[in-house]
Amino acid sequence: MRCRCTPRSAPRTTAWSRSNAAYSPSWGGLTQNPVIKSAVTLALEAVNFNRVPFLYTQGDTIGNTPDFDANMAVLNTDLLFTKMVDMRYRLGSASIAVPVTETERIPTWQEVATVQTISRRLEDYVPIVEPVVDWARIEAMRDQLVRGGKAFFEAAIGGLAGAGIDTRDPAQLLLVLKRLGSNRCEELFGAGEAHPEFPRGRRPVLETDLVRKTMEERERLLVELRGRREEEAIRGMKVLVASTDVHEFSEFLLASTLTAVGTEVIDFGVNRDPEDIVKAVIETDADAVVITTHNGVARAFGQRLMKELDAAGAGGVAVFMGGVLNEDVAGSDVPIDVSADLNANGIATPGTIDRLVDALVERRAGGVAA
Amino acid sequence: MSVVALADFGSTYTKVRLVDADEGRLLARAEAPTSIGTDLMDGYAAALAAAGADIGGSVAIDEELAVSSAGGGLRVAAIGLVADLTAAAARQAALNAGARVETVLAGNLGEEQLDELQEARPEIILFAGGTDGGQADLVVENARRLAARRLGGYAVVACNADVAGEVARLLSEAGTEVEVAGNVMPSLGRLEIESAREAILRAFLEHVIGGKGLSAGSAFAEMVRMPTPEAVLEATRLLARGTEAEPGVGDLMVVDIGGATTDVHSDHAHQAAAPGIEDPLLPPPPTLRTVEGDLGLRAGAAGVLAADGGWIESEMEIGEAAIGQSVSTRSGNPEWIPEDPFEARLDALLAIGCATHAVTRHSGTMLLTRGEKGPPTLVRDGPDLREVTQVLGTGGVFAHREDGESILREALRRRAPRSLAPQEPAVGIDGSYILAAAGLLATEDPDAALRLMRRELDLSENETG
Repeated sequence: MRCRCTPRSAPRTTAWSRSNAAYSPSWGGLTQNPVIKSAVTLALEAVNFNRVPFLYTQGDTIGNTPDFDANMAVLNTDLLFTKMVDMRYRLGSASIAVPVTETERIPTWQEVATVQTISRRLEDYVPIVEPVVDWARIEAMRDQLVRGGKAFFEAAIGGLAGAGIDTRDPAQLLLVLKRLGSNRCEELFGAGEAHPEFPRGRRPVLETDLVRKTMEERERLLVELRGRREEEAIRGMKVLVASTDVHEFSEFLLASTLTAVGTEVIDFGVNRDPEDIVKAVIETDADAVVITTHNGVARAFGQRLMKELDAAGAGGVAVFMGGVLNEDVAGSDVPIDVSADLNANGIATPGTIDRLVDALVERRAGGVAA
Repeated sequence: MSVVALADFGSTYTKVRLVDADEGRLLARAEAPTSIGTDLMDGYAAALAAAGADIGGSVAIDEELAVSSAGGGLRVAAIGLVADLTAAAARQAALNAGARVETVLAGNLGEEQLDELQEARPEIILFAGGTDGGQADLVVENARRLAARRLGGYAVVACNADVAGEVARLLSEAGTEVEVAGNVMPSLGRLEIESAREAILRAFLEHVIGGKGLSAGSAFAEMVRMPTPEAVLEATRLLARGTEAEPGVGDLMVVDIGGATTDVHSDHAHQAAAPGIEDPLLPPPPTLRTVEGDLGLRAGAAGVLAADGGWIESEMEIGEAAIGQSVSTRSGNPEWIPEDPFEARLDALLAIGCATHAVTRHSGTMLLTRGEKGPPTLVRDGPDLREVTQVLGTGGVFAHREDGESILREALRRRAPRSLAPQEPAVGIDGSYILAAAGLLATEDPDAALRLMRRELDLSENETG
């Protein structure tokens, strides 16, 4: 549940390549597939010209589900591959093991200790498995990524030089790329082909699992929703979509799906607080508010939002929340599900986007102005 | 040689600059008391004669242009829905039109707010609220309540485009002359104030300036092109960005310390969102004017003491009472001039106080906020002007004192730790009110106006371009 989103390294590497300073990559988080993840690590190593040891490789934070036992498989596979890559290619990095409860709550210290024990024991299996893995295939993926990185590098250097930036000056380059931000850099100079349906307008060279899963889920939802007649019922309904935290993919999924089914989406972006959402509702006269949350604040956020909406005379707007609906509460060692609290406060928690669409249809049929 | 007379009708003095528009060169300058009791053109004629005499008295004047803040300037009231969204957007549109914003109203307009509006007696009401396709009911209801007051006058409607026509009809039926402009915030967080700003300026020229009864003939209203602060803002933008023919000086800030208020104008290249830093709900426009009504050297002196009294006392090494007495003298007498070193020193400190606080309020601040349970977040609550390369001082204190540069430097040195105010700018002084004149000249010939500023402000292209 705590986000360890990885900084995109292409802009940073682009700037570093212009200085003679050594550069140490550390990464992880957005890729579940251990084969792709190995290729990404090797691609970073391929441009690690000074051979500075990797600081760490972050464990998988997106493969986990609410089923903690099943998450043991995610943990073991991820760590085994990370360690194999590290030992075979002599990277010298630490592998960070992610507790199996992390998607659902802040892990206890015992849960942190457990994954360390597992991590240590897995090292015994590396010499057995590593020699039989098809590393040539992984290296081919690495080369594909490095080509993409070079394409980004050339597009960025060419584009920025054209804009009057002194691309021989590493400080200037770093400053400009940082100011542009990773999203804008990808939009402008990304190596993937332009494609309007992907986040930031490009199909990735090699999809991380987060992008792949988001796009697959989007497609599945669109196919299913297109076949339904209710779509007409919510056409033009004004739906404000926002996230309480930095998780942009769930917000993207909601906004793009709800747009595709004909609602008029007011995309309010990520990191929004209740007060901002109320202000947005007043100015836009939204019919519904859909909040996605993954940072363990669902109950406090929901309560404050409803209170502020009421105080502003906008209590009639339909409010939906989804994501990870839990929070630390007094008397419990672990965060607990707060859906019932939210429901009692008048916030619907449909659980899935399909059911959210059903709920929006119902809401409109119930005479809500739209 | 084409000679243009550029006049600035101020509340106290009418200033005239004769300029060679082909060369962008100042030929002569003079001022005369503003003839507010008789006809404004009398004071202008006196100043023009003095300027003419300066260069031999026989120069033919090809064109006469003016800016004016006489008769109270342009008084505007801004109305919106949410205080820091459409109401703030409307306020900024009015400020960027060079207006004095008398009041800003937000939310569902109540009787008390409407009383406040009536008392403020604005010459123009800027009516905003709702995104395009967004809030309609509350916006129309606000218009209905406003119309019920039958205030007459002029209004610019810059609200949700879906209901702008209806709002205009309601106000117009109640006897207000209305122009519909583009929405100041057509979608969430998108500030689009140019259309409303232009409509305000049109209303000012077509209705307000001629209707103030400042001059019997039509010559005055025909000369005036804009309110004075708008000319300074135009000059700021032009000097920063340059023209197609000549480059500008880059990101720029202008600090204008007056008797009653301190204005700050800035122009900074558009900034993309910085990763990891949250922007305000309504990002500031690249060209920005702010007015601090509590910071000035005469009527505004008490406000400076309230904001910066401790520092001023410690610098003067004198007690609160003595300074209070000196400040009262200033407050009640806008034309008072210091006659001894003590009062002159106090004026300098008051000016530093004005500039320090006005620049801080104009610029953003980087705030570290912590939600109830979420991680701490960096929030930028206004424009990031740290890389502004040039700060200029304008206004009486800079025209009449020798230590203008050190006043500005000291104010900038006192920046707060997390302020996004200019960090290491070059500092310059507009000692001859050339900015307002150049902003005015720019309406006719931007290249000449830019050359005039570079020459008079000593900003050669080699140093800054």
